[in-house]
Formats: sequence, structure tokens, C-alpha cells
Amino acid sequence: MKELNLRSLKHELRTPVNHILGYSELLLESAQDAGDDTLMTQARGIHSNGRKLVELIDHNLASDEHMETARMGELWAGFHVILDQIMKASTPNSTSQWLGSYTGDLEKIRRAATQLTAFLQDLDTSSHAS
Amino acid sequence: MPKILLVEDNEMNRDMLSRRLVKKGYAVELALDGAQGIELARTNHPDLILMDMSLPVISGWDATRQLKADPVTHPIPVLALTAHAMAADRDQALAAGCDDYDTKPIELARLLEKIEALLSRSAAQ
Repeated sequence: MKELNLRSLKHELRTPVNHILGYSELLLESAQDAGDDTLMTQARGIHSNGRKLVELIDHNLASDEHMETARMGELWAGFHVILDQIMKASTPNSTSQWLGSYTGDLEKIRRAATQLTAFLQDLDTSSHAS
Repeated sequence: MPKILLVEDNEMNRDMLSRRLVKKGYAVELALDGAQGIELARTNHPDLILMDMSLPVISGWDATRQLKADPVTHPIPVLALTAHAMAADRDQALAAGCDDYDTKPIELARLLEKIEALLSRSAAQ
């Protein structure tokens, strides 16, 4: 496992999750303002999955004891499933009438999910190398 | 319109929080590191500072200490923002002179309550 203490690990995980949540909330607000039901459903799905990531971090990384490799493997598996759902849900939906206005925010959500996936893969690679 | 100085080095955090605050009726100025935050606080006198703690050049803790030691910027409320959700982080931020503390991921309703409470307290002084 890459050398990280609990504090640093939580920070590395929380920062991109914060982006996923923040941009999905921005999208939700915009969708409500525009009355765009398609985008609203899409944004709610992304936000709900972002909250699941927060719960995973809070429940599984409460103390240093949780840094054991076996438990981390379980946690990362959960992360990958949710991140995959976020990537699918943040694909611009062609039925949204306001699509062009929101593409940038959807792209930022995808960038944050990609960043988190790359971080997890890096941790996994370091773990197998040590 | 209350003027908020957001000191945040992360581009996406800056973008999404500033946009949401503007939508809520605040004027938002941006600083990318602690040194720039101190400079803008001294020259532009914001009503409140949202201070990320893990900042380049000068950390949020050191920037807050400098702002609170300066009679010109001392009265400006500083609300610390950090992704570190540990009890010690809250204590460390308050010890540096921050007036309140909030954690990321940001819950906007909770953050707005804290901002309004600090602005009201500051106006009453």
C-alpha cells in the first residue's frame, strides 16, 4: 500500500468526491431553474452516488485500524462500482433540452471521477509492488 | 451585497463554490494562495473570508494568524474550510484565530448558516 496516513488518504479521497457532489448540486439547481426533468434525474443520480462515496469514507476510514490491506481492498471495490455508475450517469444526455449549458459541469464530474479512479489504481499498484 | 473573499488553491473548488455563492447574492473575490489572500484582505476589506487551510505559499493557518495580528484585518471574520474532518483540525483552525470552521464536502445550507451568523455578529460589533 502506498505510504499514506489516514489523514492524507481521507484528504485525497474527499477532494474529488467534493467536486462530484458540488457540481452535481450546481447541475441540480440549474435543472430546477430550467425545469429540465431529464437533467434533474441525472444530477440526482450523480449526487446520490457521491453521497455513497462519502459514507464509504466515513464508515470505513474512521481510524488507523481500517488501513489494513484486506479492508482497504473491500473499500476500493465499493468505490469502483460507484465511480463506474457516476461515469455512466455523467455522460451528456442528448434528450436534455439545455444540454449545451451543462456539458462543462458534467465534464468536471467525469474528470473528478477519473482522478479518483486513477488514485485508487495507483494505490493498488503500489500495494502489489511492495 | 456582502463581499466574500474565497481563498482556495483548487480550481474546481473555487469555481463551484464561488458560482454557488454568487447565485445566493454574495459578491465573491478570489485568491489562489495564502499570500494573495492576505494582500486582498488588506486592500479590499471583504466582509468575510472563506479560508482553505491547505494552501501554497502561506498556509491557511499562517495566513489567518497574520490577518488576526493586523489591526486592519483583525475584525474580518475568517471561516476555515478543510477536507480534513478530524476534531484536531477544528481545534487547530480555531487556535489560529479562525472564527468558525466547516468541512468539505461543502453542505451549502450549513455553510450559508455559518456565513450569515458570522456576518450578523460582525455587523453587531
